[in-house]
Amino acid sequence: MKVLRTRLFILLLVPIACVFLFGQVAEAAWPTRPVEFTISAGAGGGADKYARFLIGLNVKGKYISEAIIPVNKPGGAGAVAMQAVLGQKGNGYQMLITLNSFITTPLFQNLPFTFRDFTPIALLALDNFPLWVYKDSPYKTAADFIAAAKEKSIQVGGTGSKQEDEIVFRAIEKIAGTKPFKYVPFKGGGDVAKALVGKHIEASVNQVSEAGGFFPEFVRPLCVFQDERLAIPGYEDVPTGKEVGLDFSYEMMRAIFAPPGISKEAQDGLVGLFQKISEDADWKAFAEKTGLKRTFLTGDALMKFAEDYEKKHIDIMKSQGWIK
Amino acid sequence: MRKGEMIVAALFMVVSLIVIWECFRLGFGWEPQQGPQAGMVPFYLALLMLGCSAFLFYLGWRREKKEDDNFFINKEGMMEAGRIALMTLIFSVIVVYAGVYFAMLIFSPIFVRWLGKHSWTAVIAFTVIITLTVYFGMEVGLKIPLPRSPLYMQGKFII
Amino acid sequence: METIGHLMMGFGVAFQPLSLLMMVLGLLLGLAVGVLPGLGGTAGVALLLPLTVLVPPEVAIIFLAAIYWGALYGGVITSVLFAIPGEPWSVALIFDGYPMAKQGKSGLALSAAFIASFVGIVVAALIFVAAAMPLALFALKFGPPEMFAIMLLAFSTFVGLGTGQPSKTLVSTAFGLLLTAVGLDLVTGQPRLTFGQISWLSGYHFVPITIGMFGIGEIMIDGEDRFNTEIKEVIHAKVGIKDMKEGLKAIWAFFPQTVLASLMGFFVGVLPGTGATPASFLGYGLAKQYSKHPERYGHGAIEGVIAPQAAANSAGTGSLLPMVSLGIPGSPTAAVLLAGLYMWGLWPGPRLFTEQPVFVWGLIASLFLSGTVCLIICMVGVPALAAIMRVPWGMLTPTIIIACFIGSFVMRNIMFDVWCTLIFGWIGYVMKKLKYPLAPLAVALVLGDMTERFFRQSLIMGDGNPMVFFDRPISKWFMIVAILLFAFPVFQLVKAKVKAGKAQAA
Repeated sequence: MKVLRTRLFILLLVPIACVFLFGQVAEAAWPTRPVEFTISAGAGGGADKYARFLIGLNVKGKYISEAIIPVNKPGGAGAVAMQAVLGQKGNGYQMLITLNSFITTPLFQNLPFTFRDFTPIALLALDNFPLWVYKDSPYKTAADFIAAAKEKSIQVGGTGSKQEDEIVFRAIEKIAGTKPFKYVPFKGGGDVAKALVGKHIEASVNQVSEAGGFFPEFVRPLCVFQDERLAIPGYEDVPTGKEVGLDFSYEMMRAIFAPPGISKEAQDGLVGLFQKISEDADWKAFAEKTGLKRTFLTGDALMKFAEDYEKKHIDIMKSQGWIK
Repeated sequence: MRKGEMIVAALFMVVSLIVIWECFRLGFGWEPQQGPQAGMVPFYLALLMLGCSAFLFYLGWRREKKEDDNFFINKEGMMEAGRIALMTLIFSVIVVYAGVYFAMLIFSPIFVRWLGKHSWTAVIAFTVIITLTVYFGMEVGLKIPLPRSPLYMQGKFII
Repeated sequence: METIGHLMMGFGVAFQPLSLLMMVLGLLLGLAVGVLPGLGGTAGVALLLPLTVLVPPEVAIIFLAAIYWGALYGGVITSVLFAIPGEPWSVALIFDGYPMAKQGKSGLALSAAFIASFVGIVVAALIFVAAAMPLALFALKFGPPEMFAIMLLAFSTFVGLGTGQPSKTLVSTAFGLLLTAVGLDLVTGQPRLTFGQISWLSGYHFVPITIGMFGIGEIMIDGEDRFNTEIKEVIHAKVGIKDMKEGLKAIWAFFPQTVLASLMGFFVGVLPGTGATPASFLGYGLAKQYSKHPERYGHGAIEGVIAPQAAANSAGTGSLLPMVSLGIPGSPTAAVLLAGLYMWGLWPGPRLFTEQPVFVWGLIASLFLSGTVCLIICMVGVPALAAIMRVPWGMLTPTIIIACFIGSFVMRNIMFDVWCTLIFGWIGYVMKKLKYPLAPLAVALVLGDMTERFFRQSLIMGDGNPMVFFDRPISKWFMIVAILLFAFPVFQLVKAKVKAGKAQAA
């Protein structure tokens, strides 16, 4: 009996030993295993849609031989995903899709890290912030809206608190000298669009990709906060902020960052992947439809961009008294 | 049971007090034009919980020792519950520090042998089958990355 | 007439060999992700979304929708057999499904739940065909105040849920609500109750907690019970055609309730951003509230399995309605499907119905078809599923523990959730031993976060004046009904006291 037991015990060790003996991975060219794409939103959230779209492009175009796997880490306005990616120092199979919260959350939540700790991969595009009202809203133009906002505090909505959408509304407040907006925070861009279509709020600053489906049946854009007009068919008449006296441009960055300390090879591989994606025909068509401004930046140029962006946000947030 | 009731009620009281303390930092007033401040809802919930758990503590304290029954069914049962609790602790600690696959390779044989008292053949078969099922089901089939060991993160190991 | 023509065209799409093949594949995948706790329909759909660029859009949506139906059916299984919620919306099934399994009636509970799912889907699909557009437009009228009123309604149906010491029920409820408050406060952006921990910023999610409390807690109690000399031999379920017959009989006996639960579920599902989970709780609560034998609930009442499941499946279908008709996602799953539309080069919105009839009606027709096919698959599988219970304890338990921890991790991919499952497993064990009711805690966990959010959003909209809930036509009536429902048990209690007093006097 005893002998049998010992023998079987040895047998148990066999699979475990096998794992240890043959488990070692030989050095090979990047990529040798799937790349994880961390998303700071839940499935179906704003950043999630973009990430999955990009992954779909790789499925179709086979830009890298290995699969890209989406990993959702929602919560804490991006803080949870950022911390998780940061913790995987040197892992060349990990990347993070970022929004402006990548810059603002560390500032506002006093996190022990900033964007400087990450490896820059690529800035793919800048997304727009049009000012939307519902279709039969009394505000026909941006001028109407501002005039009304000076009279009473208008009820507006956006994603989260002290994040992108509220920043835009607070900036309008300051530039045009309106009464403070009654800002209702919602959980995501989809909720905001719904609230606007249902007339529970009077204005929003959804991206075209979120609210554009309801134009022209349910909503109308009054102006867009960027330097040039939107190049989407049907949106040619939408003035820029500057044209209507709101000299303010604000965009959402759609960028990709990787953990710190990844190998040169992995970094080049990831940059190459997104370089190819940025030239993809489907991506171009998507960008055209949703008014994405395609801009490809990488390496130091991307870091420089982020630096400028941070400065801009510090100014806005300080003037609101959100940070010291 | 009486002691258990009192300890748990006391713990709930402690939790309520911690929440109340945090709510003082957050503010639990009513902001004009805005409605409740961040701490208001938790503050009143914690007050409710504090009141109820204090009452439960009192009930437990008042109860006669004679009519008291044991928390655990018997000594054997208590030991078994403790062993399962220990096993869950072991499993989750290994998952967090060395990944799911190492956790399964270590946890399954111990459980099936120690608590399940199965033969070594069954132990081995179970361990191998469950590990392979999870690996092929999640990693290969559904492409869901599970927690892996630090070695994997450095690209040196398959799990 | 036009509708029928459209529907016929839809069936034409759904009956194409490729569609059928992808549908069955989707259903099987959905059942698989549904069985695994933590990995829900949303995740399943999201996982396979990028792959659908390889087939035409109308087939792709049928495939993804099939995954969702599969998950809606599949979530039942672990809830009934092991008290582990396979899906968020199957938490309510534990309340009565698990006691049924413990009495050896797991086959019956599963059959009844599957048939209820089918009824839910068919009722929902019929409404879908009949009144998609007007319903979607009506749902738009529901803003935060209306949603808060509905949440209140859901809570009010659970007033009598805890059977035991009222103070323990209150502690459970308050504890659950407090747990949902942890994390970043949506309204002010402040971290609440996080004590400086970055990983706490994500807040407690109810899935890891319910997996721990019900799943791990139940395993510990089970292990202890093995040494209880008072409990006789564990009842081994014999499963066969009999169960299906009885399941059908049960549904027939409670047919009006099942249909009502489905109608209610559909409506809740159509409302923006709620999805199937609140619907299943409402279904359970309402069924209990209006049952002739509310005391049977929680001890293995078959109605307590049928109502929430019919409501959940109907709501799951309903949540697709605003997405298809207006381009508004009614649930996280619908939001993922919406992302798919972009990927396939379609533009979601009110024009989809008119511009892409093949796509829309193919999807609607596939609802009927997948509902039926999935019922067949499940019913064939019931005996095998119930047989799982006969796997020896020493192997079944480690499998469940592994599934619990993997399930809680894959929900949000953070280790924090693994710790949550462990700690709340132990807490659940102790609470259960001391007869703290866990059902109110689960309800509070699921609905708490939404309720507080809608409450505070409404107050901002109403300048901090609580009258905002009574100023709006729809929310006014829901609020009044909810308040009456809260008052009802108190009224009954008083009545009983008065009666007792009279009896004493006489």
